[in-house]
Amino acid sequence: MKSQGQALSFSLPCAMRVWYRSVYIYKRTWLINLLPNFFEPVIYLIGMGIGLGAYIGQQMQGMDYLHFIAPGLVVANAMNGSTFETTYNLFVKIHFDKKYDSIIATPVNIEDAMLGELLWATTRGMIYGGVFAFVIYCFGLISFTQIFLLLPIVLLTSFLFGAIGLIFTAYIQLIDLYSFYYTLFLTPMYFFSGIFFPVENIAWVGQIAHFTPLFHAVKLSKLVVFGQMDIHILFHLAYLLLGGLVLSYFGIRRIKAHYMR
Amino acid sequence: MQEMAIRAQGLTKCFADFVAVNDISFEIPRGTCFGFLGPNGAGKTSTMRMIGCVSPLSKGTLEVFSESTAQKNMRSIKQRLGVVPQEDYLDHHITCYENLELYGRYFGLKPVDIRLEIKRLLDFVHLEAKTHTQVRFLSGGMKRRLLIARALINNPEMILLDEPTTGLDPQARHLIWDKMRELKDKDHTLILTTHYMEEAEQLCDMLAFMDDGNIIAMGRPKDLIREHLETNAIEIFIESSQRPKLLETFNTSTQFHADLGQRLIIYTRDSGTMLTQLHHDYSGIEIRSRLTNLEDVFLKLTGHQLRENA
Repeated sequence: MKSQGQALSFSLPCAMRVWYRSVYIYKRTWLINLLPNFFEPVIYLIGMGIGLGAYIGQQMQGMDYLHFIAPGLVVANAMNGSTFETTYNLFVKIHFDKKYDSIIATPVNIEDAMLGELLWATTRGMIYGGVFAFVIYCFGLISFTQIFLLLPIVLLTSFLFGAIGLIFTAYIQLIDLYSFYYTLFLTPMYFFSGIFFPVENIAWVGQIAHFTPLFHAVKLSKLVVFGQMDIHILFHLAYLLLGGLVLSYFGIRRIKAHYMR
Repeated sequence: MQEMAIRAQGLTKCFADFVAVNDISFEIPRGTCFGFLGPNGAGKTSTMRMIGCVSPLSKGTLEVFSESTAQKNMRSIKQRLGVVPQEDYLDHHITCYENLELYGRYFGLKPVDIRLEIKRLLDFVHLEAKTHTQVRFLSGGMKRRLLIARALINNPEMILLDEPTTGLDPQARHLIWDKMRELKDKDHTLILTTHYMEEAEQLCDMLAFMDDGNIIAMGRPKDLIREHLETNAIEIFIESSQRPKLLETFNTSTQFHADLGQRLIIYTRDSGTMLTQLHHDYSGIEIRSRLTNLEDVFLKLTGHQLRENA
């Protein structure tokens, strides 16, 4: 695989056709796909929020534990939704199903196809995050307006994690390597990004956490839900957006070099 | 002057140190059926991929419909192409109808137009009964026909077929040949690769023999045979110790003859006389007489057969 590729030239209409393909396929099985990913955070929410929360009381920055963890779980769910699309799913489509070999014979170029997949990953993250935001609204943990304040954050989180998955997929040759991606990247991040406890309290973890993408997404979700909006919000938003743009650019370039040999 | 669908000058494709296509030039007029004939690894598929705008050229120029295949033209060229790939890259868990519908979308076609076209195309390839069957339940021949239908969804001016009948049984193969003839009659330009000389002889107006990344001969199938060999081929199954004498007798030791281990093939205009004499001189050995074909020409030009055990 050459790392030097040709310049990218995107066509949004072409990308949307590939996005539509995923919507078309997803529509048929959406319930089977959505349910497991819906239950998982609900289990965390109940298990940790109510179960563990009973022992913690009101000690999490002056609120009960259920309230404390709810917003972070929304963005984490978005992360999981989009990650799956651009990791396992994308790898299988590239290497096993050879989906794009067919698609690029049409006016859709490979960069359009990848943009379409990234948009789809973002969409799927939006569905997961959005549905979960609605769930915590039903639990009475956020207000109706706050659902809509969370959505732009869910959008950018989904986009960024779609891009991270895409660039990882672009560089690996073996599907087994995703185990490392999940156990050494996603899982630690899940626990040390401030969803379950303020990471600032552990000196070195706090330092590292600042560099991880989920930290910024969780921070944002808590800022809007707990009403502490200030100028920092822009910094975190920019981190998610720019991170997503840069990584997807280089990831798509790499995949194009693989196809346009 | 006849309008050209393809113009290639010094077309070259390299992968690292390996030269897959080595400085080839050819023109393909619109409305013709052009075949790349050669063994596996000859550079046929690499050439097709460059024409299909899915593989950049390493050197040379390539014009499809008088547009260069540079990145800026790729989408507009591909809009006018239909591609039947060698392997079946279909969506196996959705129906024939849905496969065509999604594929039509990639061309930006309107859903209502796609719907009408799908019906027509599935009729054309005799798959109307399988319209709502999932692709994984189709046979190999049916999948190939579905791939042909899929390649026609945008009513392409030119259709690229990469080994369209490889791996199919004779019945399925003949059905596909019939469909290709029908397409040719409707003025589509067809470009195909094959290692079946029968396929090339049956369908192609023009042929390019490829070997080792080079075009070693190009022309009409009949002309290629006439230019290179006598009209009749005689295959003789004879022990190698007897061969020098036989070749001398028939004065072919200086002309081209093919020595294929078990078989010796000699070429002649007057097979009648030669057969009489062979039966007289070498009674009891197996002798077969047939017309010279493209396989023989390929053998003469390259020293090896198109396919092992062909």
